[in-house]
Amino acid sequence: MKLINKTQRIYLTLVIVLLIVWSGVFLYAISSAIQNNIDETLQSELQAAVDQAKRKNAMEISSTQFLTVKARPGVRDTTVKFRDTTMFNSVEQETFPYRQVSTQARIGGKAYQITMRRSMVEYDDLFETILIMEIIFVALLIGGLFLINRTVLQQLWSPFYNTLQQLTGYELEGKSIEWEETEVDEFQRLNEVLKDMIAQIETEYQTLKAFSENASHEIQTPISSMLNRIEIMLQDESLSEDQWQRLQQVEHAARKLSRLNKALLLLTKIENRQYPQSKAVDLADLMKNLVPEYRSLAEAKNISMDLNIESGAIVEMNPELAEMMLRNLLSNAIKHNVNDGRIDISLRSDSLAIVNTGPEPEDDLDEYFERFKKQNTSSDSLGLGLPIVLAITKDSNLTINYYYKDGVYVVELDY
Amino acid sequence: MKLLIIEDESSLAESLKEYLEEEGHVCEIVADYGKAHQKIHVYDYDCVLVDITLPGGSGLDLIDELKKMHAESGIIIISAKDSLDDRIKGLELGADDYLTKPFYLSELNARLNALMRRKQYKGDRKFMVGKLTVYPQKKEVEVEGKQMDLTAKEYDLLNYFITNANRVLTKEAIAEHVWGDHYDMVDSFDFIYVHIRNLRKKLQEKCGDDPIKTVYGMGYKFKTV
Repeated sequence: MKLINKTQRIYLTLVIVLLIVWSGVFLYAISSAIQNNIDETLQSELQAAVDQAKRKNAMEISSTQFLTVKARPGVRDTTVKFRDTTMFNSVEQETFPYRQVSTQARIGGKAYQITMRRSMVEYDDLFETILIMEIIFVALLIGGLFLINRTVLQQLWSPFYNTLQQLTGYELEGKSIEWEETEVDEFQRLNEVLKDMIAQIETEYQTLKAFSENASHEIQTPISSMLNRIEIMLQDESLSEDQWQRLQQVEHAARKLSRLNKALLLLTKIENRQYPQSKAVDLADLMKNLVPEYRSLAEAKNISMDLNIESGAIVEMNPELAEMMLRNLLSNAIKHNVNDGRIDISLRSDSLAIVNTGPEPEDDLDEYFERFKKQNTSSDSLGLGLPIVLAITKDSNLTINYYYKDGVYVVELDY
Repeated sequence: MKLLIIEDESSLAESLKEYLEEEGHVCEIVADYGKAHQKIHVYDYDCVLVDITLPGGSGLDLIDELKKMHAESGIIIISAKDSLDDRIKGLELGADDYLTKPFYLSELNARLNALMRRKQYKGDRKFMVGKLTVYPQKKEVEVEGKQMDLTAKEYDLLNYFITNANRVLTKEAIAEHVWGDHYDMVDSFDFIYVHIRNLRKKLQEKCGDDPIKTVYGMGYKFKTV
């Protein structure tokens, strides 16, 4: 729920409850004031009538609509009693509310019950009017509050929403955030804290990026120099077979070091999200371009490659990573295959499946997504192919499944 | 041929120079952007080997400079950066080839020769090695007027051997030449046997002798005698 709506809801609930309570109290206060007033008037009028009768010592008053005089067997209770009642008006054919006061008195030796009453119709009308006015007042108040809250709150919080919007669209190395000046201290502080944080993140990102790029150059260059020297030395015909082979082992190790450095830096770069530019990549096109290269490798093991490529496999990702991912998957399918084996590639608009024959796995296949876990421990492979694929799928929001079933390995990629 | 090596790692530059001079080229080394800039303006080179990351500037700018000067030199980038982006940028600027460090000297030699052949003779030429006549443009090889029946890979392999004649080539160097450096596949060294065996069989049949010799079971050498 939006902050503004939430605040609004709390405000309005509070106002409505308060107004209802207030209206009740207000109506009660008014009606009791009026009632008191009427009661006092009625009582004094009744008293005046009784007094007058007592003075004359005879009950000369006749009953009317507003006054009833009834003879009683005796006077039992001389207190004044108030009552609400209704009476039927034969002219208007309607029942109307009345307030009445009665007392008992002995006049001229006879006992009477004297009742005086007054119509409450006009007061009911008054209450009705008051109630309507009150409802109109409440409705206007709530409406006004609603509007004021909306505009005022929106205005007050606008720097916050602006900051939020800027942060949502923020990308490392993207365009910088334009911070809006605000008079509210809290928002100003929020912006300053965020500004510092982002500056720090960007500096660290740049350092990291520079490191992973330089590390590659700085390490590969001396390794190159080393390998080139070995290559020159290997040309020396005076070397014995033993020396020549030892030298080749050194070369082999140095070359592995170089590959390892490249693969690890690649992983670091993927995980640091240093391949941000994504665009629509046509996997079908890419696959068609790559497969011929790998076919010749597959042929050497006499592996048949079967392609089933549908067009329209467009994936939003970094093109370089897409190529690396497919290369690793293809080389994986050849590497962990058997002689005279088979590779089936089926690329559809929403998924890619690479199925290859291979010896039964010794470990849980998920382990091969961990760094340096090799399917064949004696092999010289780096054990970084599948971790690289996994890192790429994570970076590009693809799902990957790898399993062994009925003698074949299956890699499934959903996009 | 006159070559300029623009590389800041002196040890690497020296080994390049040593190897290429043995191949009969004349090499000069410069280690930074400024000096390289001067050299290319003063002298003409047949080919420039340039690193991208240099003290004082980018090798890419030097390529741009060379192209603006309409220099005839061939340009080969040697860089540790192997991102597609750099590769494309370099080639778009007008570099003729791109080698990722570390590379085999034999590979550099092969690329250099192919480039020079393209530049000097526009590729329209044949050359003879022993009994073999090679037509680089058609990618064909003849022996005493008779065409050899070679697959694309076999031709590539033979051409690589001929370019690096009388030098020992390790299996790894050959595998990388044939399949590029994308293959993190040790198995591929075994695959090389198949191709080399077939090639040697064909050479034996056509020439009567096999110029490819095995070196200590781990390398090969193409002997021209």
